[in-house]
Amino acid sequence: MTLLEVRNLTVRFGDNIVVNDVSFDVATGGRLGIIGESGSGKTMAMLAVLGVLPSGAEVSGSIRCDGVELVGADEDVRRSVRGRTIGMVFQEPLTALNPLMRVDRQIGWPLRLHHGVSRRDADAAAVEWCARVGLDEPERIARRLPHEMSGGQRQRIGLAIALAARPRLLIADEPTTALDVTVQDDILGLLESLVDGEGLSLVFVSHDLGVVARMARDIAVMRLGRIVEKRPTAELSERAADPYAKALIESARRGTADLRRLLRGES
Amino acid sequence: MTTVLAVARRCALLLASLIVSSLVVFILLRLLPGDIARTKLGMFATNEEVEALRVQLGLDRALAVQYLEWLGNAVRGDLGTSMISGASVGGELFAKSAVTLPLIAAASVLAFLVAVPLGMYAGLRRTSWRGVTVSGIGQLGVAVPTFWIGVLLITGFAVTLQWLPSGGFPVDSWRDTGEAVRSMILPTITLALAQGAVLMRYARSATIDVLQTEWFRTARATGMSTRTALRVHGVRNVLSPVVSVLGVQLATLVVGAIIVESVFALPGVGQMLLQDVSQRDVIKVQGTVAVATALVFVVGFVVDAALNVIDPRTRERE
Amino acid sequence: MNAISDRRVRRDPGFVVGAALVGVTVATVALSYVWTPFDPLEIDPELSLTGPAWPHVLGTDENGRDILSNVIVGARSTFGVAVGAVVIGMLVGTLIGLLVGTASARTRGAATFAIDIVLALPSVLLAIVLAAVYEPSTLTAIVAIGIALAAAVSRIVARDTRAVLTNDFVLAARACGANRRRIIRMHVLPNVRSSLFVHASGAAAVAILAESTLSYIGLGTRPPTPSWGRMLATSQQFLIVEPLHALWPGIAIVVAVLGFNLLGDGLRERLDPTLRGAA
Repeated sequence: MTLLEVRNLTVRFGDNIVVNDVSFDVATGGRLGIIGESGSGKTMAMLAVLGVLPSGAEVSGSIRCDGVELVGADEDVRRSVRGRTIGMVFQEPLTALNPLMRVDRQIGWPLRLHHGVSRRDADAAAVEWCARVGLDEPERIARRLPHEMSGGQRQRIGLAIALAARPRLLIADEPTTALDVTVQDDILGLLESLVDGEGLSLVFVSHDLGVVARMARDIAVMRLGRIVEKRPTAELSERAADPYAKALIESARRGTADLRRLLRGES
Repeated sequence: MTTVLAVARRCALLLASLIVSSLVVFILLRLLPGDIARTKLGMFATNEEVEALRVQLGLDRALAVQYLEWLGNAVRGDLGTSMISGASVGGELFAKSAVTLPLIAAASVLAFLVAVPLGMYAGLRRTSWRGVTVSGIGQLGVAVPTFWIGVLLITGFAVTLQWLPSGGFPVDSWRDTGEAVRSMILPTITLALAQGAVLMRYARSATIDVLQTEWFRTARATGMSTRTALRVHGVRNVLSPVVSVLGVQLATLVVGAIIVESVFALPGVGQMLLQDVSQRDVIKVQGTVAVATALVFVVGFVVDAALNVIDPRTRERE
Repeated sequence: MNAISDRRVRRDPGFVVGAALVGVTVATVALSYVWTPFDPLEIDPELSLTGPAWPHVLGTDENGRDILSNVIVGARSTFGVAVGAVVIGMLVGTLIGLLVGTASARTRGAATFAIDIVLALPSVLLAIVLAAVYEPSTLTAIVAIGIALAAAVSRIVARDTRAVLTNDFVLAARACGANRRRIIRMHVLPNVRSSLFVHASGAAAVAILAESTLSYIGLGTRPPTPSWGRMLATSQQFLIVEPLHALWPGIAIVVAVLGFNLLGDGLRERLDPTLRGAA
């Protein structure tokens, strides 16, 4: 059953077309990876799905979530989807969290909003979420402010906020790009276990082919607002037709080979 | 431990500011052309009489000594006696503050209560004509002199409608509570409007900033409406810069109070100061300005502390 | 770049309105030297406190003086004090700001401390203290407002200067051995120069408000030189007879101050649209 159906999505700011006729599906339990460099429109496309584009954006095309059309829908309809059906975690954890609010409150609000949970219960649930995203001493860290923790910890909080209201689809927009390499692996592992554990569908956006390949079963390559290649991950390296996609794969492969040579066969 | 050090450093800075500012005022006033003693005794006094008075008032000693003596007394609460009336400076200041302090306090609160919601509304509805209108009113409000607001209010409510007195304060002061309150309504509104316009512009720009942050987008991404997100998340982030502006605005608030007292003929510290200036009562001016500046600094200090509570990041930035 | 900013400026009503209002004010000052409907000082006891009527379009004050003429000539004192204060404030403030901005950290700390203290005494309070020492006059007003403006401007210029200094091209210049004066002249000034106009505009608005306030409480321009602030003070005494008189000087002040505020905001938008917030 298709959870998310995007057809001919176009996003423009005046004369500037940032997403150009993009179409993709995400099935229940599916894992879609979207790869592209900055400016490829991948983030804008995700913001369009969620309906939180910056002001001045014009959207055309179709976005269907659970069969409900979102483009042109009432704000009430769109709001009911955000957080409850689709959750999103962003790239820059420091700026994505309210600097003046305790993190447990930030996690608790989606619960209070969508499920009518009381403040006290939401605070308690937030502590559980802190534990679930792998934070040590969750009761203590829950009461902290974002600037009192590390980048990796903040991104875990970001995940908790995105998943608090138990959405069915998680959109992860470059969630590890701003983090140290050592932390990246932890977060990706956490993401995998959460997706498996909660039975989520996933859209994973990145510019790093290696990371995308790990997280996704199908990959769409975006360039200058268009999807130029869309294939299952396993088939991508052999069957890629688009020249840009092929160049991307080739440079990733060469990078890995160089690394192996450098480490003299250590895997 | 570092917080204790930071607080101690702040206190030391505060103390230093108080001393330096009172010293500056002291020096300025001692530059009086003509002689304090002669001014007091008049043109026909003999040189011996003037000299005797100078010794009596301690004016023959070194400036530094005079200042230190003044400072020593001031710290103990003795600000000297008026050259003209002989009354205690501290005593008169205290009596007149009964008018001025409530005025300043009430006006600040009113300004805050009006400016923050209006500013947030103007920021939220920035693109609609409603928001532009509110913002335009704020722009106008900043350009209007305080005393004109007062005069206009008097013309409208006191002269034309005759609802409120056009000035003055009951002789029995606050004991005649009804009349006292009626006398304070227009002055408070005047001062509040003037301050409110400035605060509103800051609240508006802070709100616009908040609406464009990434964390606001996160809040919306979890399904919050813009208004809810602003109410729940954004208020603190708007309050922080507005409160910090309030601290900076204190000096202008004090000046505003002086002006408003002049407009409405209120027997407060401001009017007293203006009178002393015209009578060249140097000692009173010295004491009054020193206390006023001290108050500004101390309240600024308190505001800074409040800011640390609202926005703990300022603590880290030190 | 230029084409875009020109389009924005033309579309930005604030800038245009501001420029127009400032133009009106300056034109009034110029006009006051050439022609006024009546001699502002000419007394006519029979026509005391009349309302708007021909030939005295705005009426007459308690001495029978024409209000409109006094408003026109009053522009001179307000503008004169404002210009004087702004010149002092900008010159002294910019110089101090540049020096402080390029000074060592310790000097900066001490200097900022001193400037903050001066800033704590707003111009009107300074003028009051000065008036206690010297006779209140146009000069004391100019000096007091000028000092207060200088303190405010120096703070802003010091901050702008530090912002320029953090740029890499300055580090490069330092590495080549440029001394402080050279760095100021070649790197800081060109970058800071355009924003000086913004500061000057804001300073003018503050100065006009301060001058009219001082005149109102009697510590500014001495009679009989016409002055907006003092006209308002006098009109207050006769509100019962002729309330309209309280309108005209106030409108004049608002026009001038609003004009400079809008002009300053508009200039800021044009120079760097990313800057925001009240200075």
